[in-house]
Amino acid sequence: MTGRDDQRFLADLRAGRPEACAELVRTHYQAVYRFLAHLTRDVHAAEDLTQETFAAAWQRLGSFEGRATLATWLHRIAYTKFVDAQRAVCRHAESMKQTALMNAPSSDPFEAVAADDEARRLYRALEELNPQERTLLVLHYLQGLSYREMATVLDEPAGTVKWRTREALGRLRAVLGEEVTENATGTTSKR
Amino acid sequence: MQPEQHRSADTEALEARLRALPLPPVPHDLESRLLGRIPSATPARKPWRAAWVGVAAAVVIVCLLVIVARISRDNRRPDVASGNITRHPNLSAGRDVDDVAVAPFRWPLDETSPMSAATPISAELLN
Repeated sequence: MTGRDDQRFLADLRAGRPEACAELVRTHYQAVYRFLAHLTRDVHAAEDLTQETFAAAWQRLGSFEGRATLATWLHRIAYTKFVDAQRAVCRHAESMKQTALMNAPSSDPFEAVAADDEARRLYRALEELNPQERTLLVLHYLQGLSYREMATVLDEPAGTVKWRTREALGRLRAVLGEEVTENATGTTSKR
Repeated sequence: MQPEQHRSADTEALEARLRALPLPPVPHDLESRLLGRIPSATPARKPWRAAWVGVAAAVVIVCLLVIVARISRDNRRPDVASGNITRHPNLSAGRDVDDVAVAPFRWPLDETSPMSAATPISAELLN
């Protein structure tokens, strides 16, 4: 899309034209859903949060100034929704059970796709990271956002985001290394 | 191979593996659900806000122009060089007053006192 097309598209969105809103959904809903699926590790939670993200987007569309891209803006809303949901879960002890349900294997969105061992190992290693580290790696390597875009999503300086992403990658490598060592030890002890 | 180079190669390989991870499937009906929830009228930017700002700015500009015009009119200097001095109406009125012969001032009270100063004070009062 050219700059002029972008401007026209934005104007249509701000005017609340249904066809522009539908185009926004079609273009971005998969990325938003996948981002939330990576964060929540739950199909149903990701679906709910995706719907909440777009509901919030319709409300805030009038105040969108167009300084960031629409994709970055939607990621920002989605991340805020995820953080709010996490806080709500932590606040209510009853919801801790839901958290356990969220990680139940039946609703794991990566169960089907991680067919090969390599992908499964990587997904398992990502799961062992804390949510902040996982968010950074998902945004950069899986969602393809630049450090500057990530800074907008996470509301942090780009330099800090870059440094923290490097740290998270180091943590992931360490987790994978530990896993390899554990497997090797297990194989040796079996012999 | 140097340890740093080895580490860098490791990092690059891990980054490539992350980027190549298979994407999770998206639920089929999610798109239709999202499309169904698009509001008929999204809150667009309020145009009246810009209109109000424009009207307020215009009023302020008009007020400033009126003030500036009054000040410049009051400060307008007479054209001394050409001799065409236009006298302010108030000033000419003042001169007219000056030209009228002023009557001599008279005290509103009589100059002569009705009391005579020669009334003697009795001796009793003095004691």
